[in-house]
Amino acid sequence: MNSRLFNWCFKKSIWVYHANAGACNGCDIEILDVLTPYYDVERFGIRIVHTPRHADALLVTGPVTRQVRERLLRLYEATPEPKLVIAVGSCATGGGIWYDSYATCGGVKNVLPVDIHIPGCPPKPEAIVYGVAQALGMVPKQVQAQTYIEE
Amino acid sequence: MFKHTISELKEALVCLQAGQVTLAYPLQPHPAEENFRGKPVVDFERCIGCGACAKVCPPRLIQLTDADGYREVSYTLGRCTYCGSCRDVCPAQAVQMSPLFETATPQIEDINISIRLKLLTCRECGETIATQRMAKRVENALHEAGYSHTENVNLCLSCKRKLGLNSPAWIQEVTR
Amino acid sequence: MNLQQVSLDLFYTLIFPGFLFTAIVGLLLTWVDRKITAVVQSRIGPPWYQPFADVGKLMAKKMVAPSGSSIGFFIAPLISVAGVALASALVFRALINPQAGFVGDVIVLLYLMTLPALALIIGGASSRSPFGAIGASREMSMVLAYEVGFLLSIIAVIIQSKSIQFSGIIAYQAAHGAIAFSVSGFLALCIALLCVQAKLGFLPFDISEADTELIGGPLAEYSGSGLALFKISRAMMFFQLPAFVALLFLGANQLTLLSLIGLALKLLAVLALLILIKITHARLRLDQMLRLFWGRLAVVGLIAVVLAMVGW
Repeated sequence: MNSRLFNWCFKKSIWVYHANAGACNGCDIEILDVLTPYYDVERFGIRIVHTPRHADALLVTGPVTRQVRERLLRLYEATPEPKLVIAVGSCATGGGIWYDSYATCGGVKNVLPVDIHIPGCPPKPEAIVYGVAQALGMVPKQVQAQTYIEE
Repeated sequence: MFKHTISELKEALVCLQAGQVTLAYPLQPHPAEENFRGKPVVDFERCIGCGACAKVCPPRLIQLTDADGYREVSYTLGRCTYCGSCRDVCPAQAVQMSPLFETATPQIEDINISIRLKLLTCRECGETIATQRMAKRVENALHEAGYSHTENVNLCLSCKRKLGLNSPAWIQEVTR
Repeated sequence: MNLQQVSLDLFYTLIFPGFLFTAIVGLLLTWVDRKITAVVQSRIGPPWYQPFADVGKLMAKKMVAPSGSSIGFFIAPLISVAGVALASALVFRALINPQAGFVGDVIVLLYLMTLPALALIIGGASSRSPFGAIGASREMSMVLAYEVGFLLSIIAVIIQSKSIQFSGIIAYQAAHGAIAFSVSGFLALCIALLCVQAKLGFLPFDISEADTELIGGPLAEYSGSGLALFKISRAMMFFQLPAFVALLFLGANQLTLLSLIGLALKLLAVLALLILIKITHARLRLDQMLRLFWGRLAVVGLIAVVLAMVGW
């Protein structure tokens, strides 16, 4: 009963910390848009906090540049368990245009264990809300890999 | 500070007139606007495997690999920047930018697309020329332009040159 | 000092009207705060169970303490909750059972109500983080500022009602009408409301816990159950401080149902006023706040005390 109660509490109350790991700020502006009354994520219990110690989820944007990689690892370690890592934007999910650059690590998945990827350049605020709702189990996943073989 | 207080309280009461502006998303769908460039989708019947999209893609996420008699066109859409260049250059209008933006997933491999098309080999030397669909497209274009001799479409370039050297009558007919 | 008396006292302190009752009602009042904020900002707010989910989630998370932090880091949340629980037990026991109070319990209440601020200072200073240190020093300056105004307004009430027992003040209001209807009482009410705004950490006086400036100030290094206890004590203060102001200034209350509903409405009105001021103001700088409390409100408080002595 205890763990079911705590699972319910985690689904209803997620506090996110926004970490910019070398992004161009496009995705950061879209994350700011999500916090406006138009999309109102507070009804799902989501709140922005300003220190990773209070956070349950890290919203990481940007391909992880070499300089920020160590600080991003320290942010991840400073967040208490249990935690989620959400990679927002094409740079965070796959490295974007800098996927093979000497200056980046090619996306967050090469640095931290990612729980949900939200592609987009930048992703619409609705796409970010959809991604976080999927992490909370509110909506199902819509994409799947497509393969076609001509016969 | 107190003059400010009264005016701010009046403003707060005015804001109440706006009512509630919140969208009901994600409990209700909220489609994207017109001309929105979402996830690229490929019409598998129209793609000819030419590789024009692979040449123009900025993050170079479209790869063409020839193996085992098949050409594989693979899109790793994790790093797509949604520029639309692949749609602009596709000669068969196979790639479209759909309005799909709900592409979040725990595994980023879930938005990959992979297309395998049969390759055409030279009837003389067996070298790979291109995909069979590209050859069909060239044949159709030649027929529409009025040329009836399209039997040499399945020869590679070196074999076509050798054919030209050995049969002057064929050259004369074409260049007349 | 028999077992029945001790267990009854423990019940009053921990269950009703002490810790558990005040915590539940206080968390519901934080929901009221968030809902009013949402309505003014033209959006839907969180559902009614949101504060309970927040506190439950914080209890389930691992608590991380910085290395080198002293024992004060762990004691501070407990001091905060204990102070507010005892204060609310005293206030509501005096309402329910007038003979249960003792002479001078208003003074004891004032001391108990400074314990949450002291706990913030201790917690911030012992968290071995520059944000905590700055937050603790700002909270110290703020406590020196708003306690002066609060004490002066309570002194005006005590002078007018000629009693330093909580039940005595309630009895005076039952006989002579609400204290807020007199000139000195009205001035004292305004000062007390502003001081309660500062005590609750509401804008424009949330200088020590500035989220975007100081990353939570004294709370920057707290996580898990420590943060949960601080949030619970803050929620309990939402209930206890407006109730204290309503009982002291806004008229008498007996134990009848009509009177209790009247008390609830008065509490909600005081809270709604504080929330409206919170939503519509920006944060003051520390020196602006000190000038406001020491320069202007203390002078108004002295005027209120003099008027109370004269009899107005």
